[in-house]
Amino acid sequence: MANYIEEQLKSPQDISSNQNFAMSEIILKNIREGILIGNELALLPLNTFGNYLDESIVDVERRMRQEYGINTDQWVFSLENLLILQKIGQLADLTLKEVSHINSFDTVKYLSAWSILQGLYLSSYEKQVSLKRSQLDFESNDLKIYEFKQIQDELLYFSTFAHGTYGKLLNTFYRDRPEIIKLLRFTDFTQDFVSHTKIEEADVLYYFWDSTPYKPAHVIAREQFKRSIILCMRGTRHWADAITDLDFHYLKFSIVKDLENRKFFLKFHFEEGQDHLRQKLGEDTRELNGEGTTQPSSGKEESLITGYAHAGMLLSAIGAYKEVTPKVNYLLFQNFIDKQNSLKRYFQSQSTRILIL
Amino acid sequence: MITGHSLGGGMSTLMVLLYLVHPLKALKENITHRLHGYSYGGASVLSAEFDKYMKPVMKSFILGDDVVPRLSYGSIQDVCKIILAFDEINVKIYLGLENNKK
Repeated sequence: MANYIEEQLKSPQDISSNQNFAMSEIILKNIREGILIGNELALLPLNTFGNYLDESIVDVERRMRQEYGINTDQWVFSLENLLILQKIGQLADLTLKEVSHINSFDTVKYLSAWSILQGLYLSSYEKQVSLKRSQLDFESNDLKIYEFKQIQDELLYFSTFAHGTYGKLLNTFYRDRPEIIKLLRFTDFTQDFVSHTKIEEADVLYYFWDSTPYKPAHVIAREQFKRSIILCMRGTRHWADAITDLDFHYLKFSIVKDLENRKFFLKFHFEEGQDHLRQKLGEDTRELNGEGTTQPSSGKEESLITGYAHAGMLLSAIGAYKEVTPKVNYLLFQNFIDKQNSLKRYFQSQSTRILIL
Repeated sequence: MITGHSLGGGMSTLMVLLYLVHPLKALKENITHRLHGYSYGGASVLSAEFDKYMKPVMKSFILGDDVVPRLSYGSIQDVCKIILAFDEINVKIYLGLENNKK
């Protein structure tokens, strides 16, 4: 079963059945890496992919036009998404059959399919951006488009870090269940993050993968190319993340300026029924500077902005802020103050990591 | 650089806000360092008042009609109002208080 799923994920289509072998190689490579280069694939006509489908081209075209409203003469991109959806359905069915004998299965039966969807969904960001960029290449060299391309490049580049925190597919919700780990290949999150982002393992400076309520998984990495310290927050992957998501009370707060000390801080306005938030958060948030010091209030304050925030995520962000800030401060001082020694410090990175952990 | 997807996107937005209010010591002392956030399909976590404050340092990317960034307390209230409005119209039609155009 596990091998079968791996094979399916690695080779979504059967190469031998395809006459256009060169094209299938490109497609498979891109599907494996989660990236479709617009120049290569996006504008190809549908009949190139004829042998990828069990049903006839005419049937698929009709179905796509009628059910999805897609003009198949121009866009192959949507057809590929359709194939991915079919594959998710097959994998989900297979997984359900294999794990159906386990107790309390009802509560988790859709999670494996959901984790696959999340991974593929993130990959689709990269596909769409690649597609748009390829169109822009042919259209204009206008300055605005150049700026837009720069933003797109940054978007693509940093999306790999956001995506990498999820780890490989199918390995998260069953981590504590040895009987399922036998079925589904368990992989190391840090290794997955490194392989996905193409950074050195020594550049992963701090990580926290086992989410708890109000404390989602996160990782701090050093990026040598853009000379950045990157803090990546993982999305909903663990049951504890769902609890953080679902605490969607709104919390009113202001950004306040202390006129005497000329410092800014957050001031919360708790309403009725929000005592649990008050207890978790505490009324005075001046200690949020990450250094543990507390500024006494002068009493002269000016409120700059007042608005609302998602309570569960705000609590999580404040917790992460307190935990991460001293580490990030340390890293920035260590690695970037003296730029001349960056290469030397790079070779010292393993010892830096030990210091941080 | 702070980044994340979905819940992580919402978290990174709030982390950037916190770092704007209480800047990092290292960023204060070296002006060549800059704080920036990238949110991918981030959850809707802040009200519109913070838009101008966050704009210079935060980029949020949303794919198509992704439901996660559009789901908020306000949007659910809007949906409830629409459903109730439709329901009210249907009740009136059922009671014969309003003519059914069809």
